[in-house]
Amino acid sequence: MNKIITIIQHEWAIKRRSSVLSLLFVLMQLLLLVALLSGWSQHQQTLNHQTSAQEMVEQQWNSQPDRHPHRVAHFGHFTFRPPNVLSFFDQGVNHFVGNSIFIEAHRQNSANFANDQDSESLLRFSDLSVANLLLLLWPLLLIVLGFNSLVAERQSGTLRQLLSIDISLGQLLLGKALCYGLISLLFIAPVFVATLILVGASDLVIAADSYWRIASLLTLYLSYCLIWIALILLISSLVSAPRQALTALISLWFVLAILMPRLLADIAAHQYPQLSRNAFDSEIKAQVSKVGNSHNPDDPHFSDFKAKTLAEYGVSTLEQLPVNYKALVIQEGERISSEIFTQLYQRQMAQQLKQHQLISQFYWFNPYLLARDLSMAIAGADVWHFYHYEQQSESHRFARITKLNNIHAEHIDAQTDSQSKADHSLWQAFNAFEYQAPGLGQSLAPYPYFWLRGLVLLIIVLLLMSHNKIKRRVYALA
Amino acid sequence: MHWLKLECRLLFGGLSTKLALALIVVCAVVAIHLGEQNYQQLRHDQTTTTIKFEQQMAAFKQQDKLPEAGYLGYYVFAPTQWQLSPWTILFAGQSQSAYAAMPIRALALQGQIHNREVVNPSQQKAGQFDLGFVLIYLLPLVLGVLSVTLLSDERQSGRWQMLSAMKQGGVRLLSIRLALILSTLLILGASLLLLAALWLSLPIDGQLLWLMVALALYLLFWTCVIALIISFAKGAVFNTLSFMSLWLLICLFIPASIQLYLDHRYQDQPALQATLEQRMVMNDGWDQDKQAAMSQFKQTYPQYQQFELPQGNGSWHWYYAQQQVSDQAVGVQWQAHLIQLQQRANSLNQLSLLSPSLMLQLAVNRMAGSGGEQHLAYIKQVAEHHRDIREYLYPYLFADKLVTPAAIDAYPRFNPAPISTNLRFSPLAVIAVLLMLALYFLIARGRKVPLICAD
Repeated sequence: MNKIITIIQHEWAIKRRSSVLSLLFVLMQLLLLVALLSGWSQHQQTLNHQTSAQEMVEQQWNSQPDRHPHRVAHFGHFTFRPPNVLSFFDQGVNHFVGNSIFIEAHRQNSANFANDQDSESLLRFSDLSVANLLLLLWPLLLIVLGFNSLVAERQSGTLRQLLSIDISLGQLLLGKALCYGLISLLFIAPVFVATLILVGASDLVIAADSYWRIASLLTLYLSYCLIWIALILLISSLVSAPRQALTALISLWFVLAILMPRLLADIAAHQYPQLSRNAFDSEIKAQVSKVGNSHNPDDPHFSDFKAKTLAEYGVSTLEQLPVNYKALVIQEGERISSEIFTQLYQRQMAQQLKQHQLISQFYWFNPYLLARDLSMAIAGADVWHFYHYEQQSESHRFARITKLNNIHAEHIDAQTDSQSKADHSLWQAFNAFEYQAPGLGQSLAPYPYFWLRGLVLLIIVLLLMSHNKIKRRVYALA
Repeated sequence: MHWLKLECRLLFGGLSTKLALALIVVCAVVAIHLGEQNYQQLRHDQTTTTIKFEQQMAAFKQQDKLPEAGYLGYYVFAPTQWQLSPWTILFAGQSQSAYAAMPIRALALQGQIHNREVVNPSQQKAGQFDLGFVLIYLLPLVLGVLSVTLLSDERQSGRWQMLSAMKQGGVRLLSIRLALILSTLLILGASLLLLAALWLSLPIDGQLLWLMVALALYLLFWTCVIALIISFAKGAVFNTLSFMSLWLLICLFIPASIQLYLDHRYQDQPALQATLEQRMVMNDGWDQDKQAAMSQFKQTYPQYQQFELPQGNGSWHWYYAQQQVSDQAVGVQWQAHLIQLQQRANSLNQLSLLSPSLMLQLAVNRMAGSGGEQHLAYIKQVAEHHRDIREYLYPYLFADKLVTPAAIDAYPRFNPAPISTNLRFSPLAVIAVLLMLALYFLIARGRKVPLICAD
C-alpha cells in the first residue's frame, strides 16, 4: 500500500514539475465555467420565454367568449416542454427539438420552433456544454498528461529499475492510475460544485431527485475518466516510443469520440429508417379513411356506430337522443385518428429504438458513446425525454378535445347546432398542461445494465493489462 | 529521384500512417454512399408528393361533379421542392434535417410553414457524416498527426545534428518532407473528389475545380500552421498538443461559440409570436362580424369589391377571407422572422472569418445549394407559392368563376428556382490572405530561430 502511495506521490511530483498541468487546469476551469454559465443563461432564457408564452396561451384560452365547443377545439392550445433543470449541464438533443406543440382537434402536430438554424455547420462536434467538454476534451487532456507515463520510464531506463526492485507492474500501473484519477477529480470537481451551487441557489422549483442526478453525473464522469486512464496506461505500456503512444491514443480518441458516433448514427438511421413527415401524414390519412368516413351516410363503420349509440341510450331515432349525436360522431372520429396516430407513432418509436439498440451494441467497446448517452439521460435531455413529452402532450390533447366534445354533446342542442354557443365559464374548467418529468429510474430505463457495460469495458482493459503475453511484452520492452 | 522514394518510404512506411490514409479512404467511401442514399430518399419524397398531387388532380377531373374552389383550397396539399444539387450528396448542409418537400394549402401560411421533417434528434446530435466532414475536419487532422513532429522526431533520434550539418539537410529537408506529406494528402483529397464526381456522374467542370482549389488552399493553410508550430523547435509533446489545441479551437470551439453567440443575439422568436397571434385573429373572426373580415380582405384585393357575402352560416368565402386576414395581421412578425434569419446568416458569414474550417464548410454548402441561406430562399419561395395558390382560387370564390377541368389543370405548380452555381471566391481569398499571414510569420520566425539548433 505504501508503495502505491509513493508511486502516486512520485507521479504527481513529475506532473507538477512542468507548468503544463497548472496551465491546463486554469484553461479547463475557465472553459468549464464559461460553458456552465452560458448553459445556465440559455436555460433561464428558454424558461422565461416559455413561462411568458404559456401564461399568454392560458390567458387566451380562459378569456374566450361564449363559443361553440368545436370552435374551441379548432382554436386549440399549446403545450410547452420546460427544459430539465440539469439541461444547462448537458444540453443533449435540446438544440434539435422543438419546445412547443400546437394541439387542436383532428390533428396531431409535431413540435416546432427548434433552435437549429445552421446547427449542421456550427454544431458538427456538438455544443459547448459542460458535458461535451468533459466527454470530448477531458480524455484528450488525459492523453496529453499520461501518454508517456510508462513509455518514458522505459526510455529513461527507470522502468527496468522499478521492476527489478520489489515493485510489480500491477502496483506501478495502479499507482499511476490512481494519480490520474485524483487529477481528474481535481479537474472536474469544481464544475460539479458550481453546478450544485447554481441549482441550490436558484429559485427554481427543482425535482427531488436533482441532487441524486448530480451525484450520478459525477460518478459517471469519474468512471469515464477511469476507463480512459486505463486505456492510456495500457497503450503507454505496450509501445516502445512516446510519440507512438501519443499518435495511437489520439487516433483512438478520434475514432471513439468523433468518428464512430456519427458513423453509427447514420448507419443505424439507414438500417432502420423512419417514415418521413409526408409519408407519415399520408399513411394516417389513408388508414383513417379506411376505417370510416363520418360524412358518408352509408359508411359501414359509422352506421354501426349509430346503431350502437341508439341501443346504448335505448332510443330508436337520433332525435330522441338526450345528447348531440354530431358531437358523438366527432368524438368517434377523434378516437379513431388518435388511435391510428398512436400506432404509427409507436412504429416510428420502435424504429428509433432499433437504431438505439444498434448503437448501444457498441457501448461494450466505446466509453464515449456510453457516457454520452447516460449523461444525456441523467440530465433529462436525451431523445427519450423528448418523446416522453410528445406522448404526454398527445394524451393531454386527446383529453382536452374529448372534454370539449362532451361539452358539445351535452350543452349544444342538435337542432340549432351551428348557431349555438356554449357558455364561456366552461373554458375555465380545463387544467393547464404541466409536463411531468420522469424520475431518475425512468430516465435510465432505456439503458438497461449500463453499469455492467461500463464495468465490462473496464475489466476488459484490466484483463488485457494483466494478460501474460502482454505482461511479457512489457517486460521484454523494458 | 531515388531520394524521393526513400523519403516516401520513411514518411509513409509506418503501419499507423498507412492506417490513417486507409481510414480517410474508407470514411470517404462510406460518406459518399450514405450521402447518396440520403439524397435519393429526399428526391423520392419530393417526387412521390408531386405524383400523388397530380393523381389527385387527375381524379378530380374524372368526377361527375367537379370540386368547388373551397374544397380545392382545403383538401389539396400542393407539393413544393427544395431544389438541391447533387453536390448535396457530398456536402449535406441542412438538407437532411430540413422539410425539403413541404406541402402547402390555401389556409393561413403561419399554420403550415413552420412544420418540420421527422428526424432522429440523436442522429443530429451525433453530427453529420459527409464527404465534407472527411475533407474539412479529418484531412487536416491526419496532416497534423503525420507532420507536426517531423523535427522533434529527428532530434529525439539524435539524427538532427547530423542532418542539419548536411548540405541537403536542415530546414530544406524538413520543407521537402512537409511538402511531400501535404501533396500526398492533397492528391488523396482531390482524387476522392474526382472519384465522387465520377461515381455520382457529377459534371467535371468549374465547380469541381473550385472545390479542388479551395481544398488546396485550405490544406496549405494547415500546413503553414504546422510549419509554424515546428519552427518553435520544441518537443513532440508540445507540438502535438499545440496542433490538437488549434484543431479543436478552429473546428470545435469557434463554431460552437458562434452558435452560442447567435442564439443569444437573436433570441426573439418572431415566428412563435406570429403563429400565436395568427391563431387568435383567425379564431376571434368566428365571433366577430363576418363583414368586417370581408371588407378588410377587399382592401387588399379591391378587384373583388363587388362580392357580397351570402346570407347564413358556413360559407367558404368568409373562411378564406379570414385566413388571409389572419396571415396579414402577423405580416410584421413574419417579415421580422425572415429578416432575422437573413441577419443571422449574415452574421454567421462575417463570424466565419474566425475559423477557416467553418468558412470552407459554409462555402461548400453554398456551392451545393444546401446552406442556410438557400433554405431561407426556399421558405420564401414556398410563401410565394402559397400566395399564388390563394390568388388562383380567389376568382372562383369571389368572382363566381366556374371550376372547369381546364381550371383544375391551371392549378399553380411549384417552380423551384434553378440552382445557381454559387461559386464564391471571397472565402478562398480570405483563406489565401490567412495563408500569406501564416507564411509571413513563418519566415519571420525562420530568420529568428535557426532551426539548426541541436539539443
